[in-house]
Amino acid sequence: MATLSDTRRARPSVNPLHYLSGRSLIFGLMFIVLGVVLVLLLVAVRMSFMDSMTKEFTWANYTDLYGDSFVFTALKNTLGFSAVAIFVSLLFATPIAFFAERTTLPGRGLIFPMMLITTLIPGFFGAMGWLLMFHPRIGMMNKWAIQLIPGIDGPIFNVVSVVGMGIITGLGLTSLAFIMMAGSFRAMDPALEESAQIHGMGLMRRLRRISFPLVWPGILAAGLYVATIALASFDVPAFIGLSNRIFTFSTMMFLMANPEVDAPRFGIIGASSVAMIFIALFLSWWYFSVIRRSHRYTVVTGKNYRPKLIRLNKRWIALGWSIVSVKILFSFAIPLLMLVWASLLPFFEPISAEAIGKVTLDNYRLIPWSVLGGPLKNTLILTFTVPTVLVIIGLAISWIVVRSKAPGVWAVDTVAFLPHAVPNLIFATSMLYVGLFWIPNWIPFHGTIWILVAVFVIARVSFPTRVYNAALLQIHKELDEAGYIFGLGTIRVLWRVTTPLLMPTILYSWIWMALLAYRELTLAAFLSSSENVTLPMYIFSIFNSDRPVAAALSVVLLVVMLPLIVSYFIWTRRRGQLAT
Amino acid sequence: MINAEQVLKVFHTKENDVVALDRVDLQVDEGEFFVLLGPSGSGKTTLLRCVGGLEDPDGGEIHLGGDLVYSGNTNVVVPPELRRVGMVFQSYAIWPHMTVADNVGLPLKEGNMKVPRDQVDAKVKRALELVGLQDLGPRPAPLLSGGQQQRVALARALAVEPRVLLMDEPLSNLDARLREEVRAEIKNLAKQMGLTVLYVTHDQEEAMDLADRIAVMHLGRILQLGSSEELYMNPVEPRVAQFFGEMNWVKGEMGDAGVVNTSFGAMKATTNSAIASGSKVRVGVRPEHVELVPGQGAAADGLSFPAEILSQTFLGDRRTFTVKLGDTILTARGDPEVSISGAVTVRIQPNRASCFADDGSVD
Repeated sequence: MATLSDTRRARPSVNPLHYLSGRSLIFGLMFIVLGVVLVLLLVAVRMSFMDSMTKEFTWANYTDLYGDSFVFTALKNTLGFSAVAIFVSLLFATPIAFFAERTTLPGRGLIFPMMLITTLIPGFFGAMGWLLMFHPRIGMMNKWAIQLIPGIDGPIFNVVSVVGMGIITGLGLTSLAFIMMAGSFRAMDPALEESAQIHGMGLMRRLRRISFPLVWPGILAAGLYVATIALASFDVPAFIGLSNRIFTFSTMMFLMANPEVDAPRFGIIGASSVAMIFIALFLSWWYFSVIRRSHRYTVVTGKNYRPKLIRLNKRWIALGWSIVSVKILFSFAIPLLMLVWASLLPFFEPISAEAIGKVTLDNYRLIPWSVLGGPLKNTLILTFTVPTVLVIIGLAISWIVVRSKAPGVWAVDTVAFLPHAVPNLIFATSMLYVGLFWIPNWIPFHGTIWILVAVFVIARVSFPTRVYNAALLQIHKELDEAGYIFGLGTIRVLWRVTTPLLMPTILYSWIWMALLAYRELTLAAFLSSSENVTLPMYIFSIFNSDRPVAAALSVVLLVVMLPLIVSYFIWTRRRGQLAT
Repeated sequence: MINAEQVLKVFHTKENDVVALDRVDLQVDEGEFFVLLGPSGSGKTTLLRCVGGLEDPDGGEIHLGGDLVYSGNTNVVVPPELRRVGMVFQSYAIWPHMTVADNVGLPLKEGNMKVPRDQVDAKVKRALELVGLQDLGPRPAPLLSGGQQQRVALARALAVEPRVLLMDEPLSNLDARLREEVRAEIKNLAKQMGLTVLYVTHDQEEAMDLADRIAVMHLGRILQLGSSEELYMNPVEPRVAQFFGEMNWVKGEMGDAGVVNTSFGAMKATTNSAIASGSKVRVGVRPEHVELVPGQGAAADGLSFPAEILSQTFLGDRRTFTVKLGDTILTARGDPEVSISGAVTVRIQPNRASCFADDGSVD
């Protein structure tokens, strides 16, 4: 037990390593993790100035962004692809949010949970399903059109295009855009509309002149958020664009990092990363200024108050549910149907009477369970290790930001936010560089599951931090202080007082992060080697060579995931914890 | 037991710097019940938290029981968990995920103030008995009423047998009846156990009841320090006087030889510091010291003045009067059985009229 005479220490507000045990551990962990975040970003910068072959300083990579036609085309495609994705997602999300939050649409309470659930469906799911529907050569809809509609002898739908890929991605991102928008729709001040109504404005005019301008910041913010994700989206361009030589930023980077010949072209990777970091940071900055401005339009009241709901007649009700159904159909139901169908046939062909006769469960039986052992093990390691590590890191960083009263915690908060703003694959490519050139060979890292664990953790640091920041603010600091006064040190207070009170939040965040790790493809793909293949990566690798088995595996993946997601939502709903 | 010297604490906000403690000196003896009294923002809670270690001052020195726990000069900061104090927080700070017994027992089981395992249960039981909650040991903390939570907080602080007990406005969240009850219990327990208590409140009656000595604080400074009688009878400045009970203020100009020229005549008053002739002053008189004599027998002796009763109110144990002298309105307090109205003579004894320089601090 320490006595007072041996506690001469330096002034805490200058030196964060005040206490040689608890606090220094927590601060140390934070410095290591956030240090890695910063280092990886700086590595990208370093790479951008480096000639891939000679490692000498050069500006050439930046000029290649424009000069190299392959790179330039990919970046151009990315802009077009993202624009379509943003447009489609807002096109669906805005009316769905409107119907869910501002009207009397029957059953609208189901919309939010449905959207929340669909955010967890892996992106490549929709990609695969859509490919099977709308591929120019093998797509079912095209084959049906040729067979059934006279005068058509060529494909009419082509999903293998920038626009096609954009549409699928946009449909997938609709859920996310909806969740962002729902909040601002809900928080509208009814008095602003009522005053217009009292003074003679009809419904349509009110919607146009009052309601829409008020939610516009929310829509814009959702659009910016979706843009950040769409720019670096990998799932759809990987499954659809890659083998058809249509590249976007993410698949271009993938090719540079895993080339068939030569070494990875780190120079271009670096330059593209830096360009993308700037764009992403700009979008984030814009997003925050929109959010800040939009707070002028919301009402801050403690009471239970809802904006006035618009009554719908039968036609409008039908319209509302049609839009929701189309979204669910095309982003979930139809791809699922296609994948189930594809998994039941030896060779993929359109649904027809004779095809039904060929249905078989062979693809499920033929799943190479022995080969799958590795990917299964890797996926399980990721699913269980990553969220656990993230909980600990998230607690440490949130404690520092909310409780520690150390100077400069705004910097900690900002750096912790970077992995959210910056496309995750940049961390993967930088980590690749670090693994190849910095870490000595005798440390098992590059090409193992541990490099994946590291990248998964770094890429997702923002999520637990933000969630625990909010949760910690709810816990009265005097509960901690009572602990300190009565003799408990920093770690002991965290363990005995803070963590038990945070337990519901910790549990639900753990499960969410576990689901995200389970379905993650992008990071696994960029750093994959023969040893660290995960289940999604395995599906990706056999999709073109053995489509039926890939389909069967995806169905199994989803079947395992869905009950977990649904029971998780029932559980959090009951505890009133539905937060994003 | 508590020795604070020149304690300085500044809070830095975006707009400006707020001096919460302006080089405060404080000494609390062992076994003393010491109260810090003042309005919000006076620094009393900040001082308490500095003594406990929950805030780090920006200068000065603090000793607890002879041990140095803070020194701005030699950069010594002892963290709160090593200071061996107990504290009752304003919000009680009872840990909601534990039972009553676990709340009281945790500091005894873990941390710097732990005791041998076999003593824990006995100490918890004794502490709960002291506050009258001996049957509530297994109850989960959130299922308690406010008053019960308050008692658990008290039990937790008593169980560790601290050398100093810190209390931060512990009664302000209780309803009036409960407040008096718990106040009496705290007073008894402190006396019984010979505790050294540093107590913060804004309630002057609470302070006068509980304290051996009171320090009246305002904007980070101690205005006056003493027993409740000293502070009530001999306030050194208007703010202190105003803080304790009601006070009538009469504005005037300082004359010669302890006489103040007011709108209703020359008045004899006592000053506790020299005030130059001609300077603006205000004289404070407690309502109970405004004597009322029916009839107009005023003599020009500096003590009695003609006046008129504007209104009177019967309040059960006393009667209050609104009295007009010249331009001035005073409140007087008298025997409830005697009703007075109309023209009267007001008499104020000079030793009950405290004269202060008028620095505009009180209106």
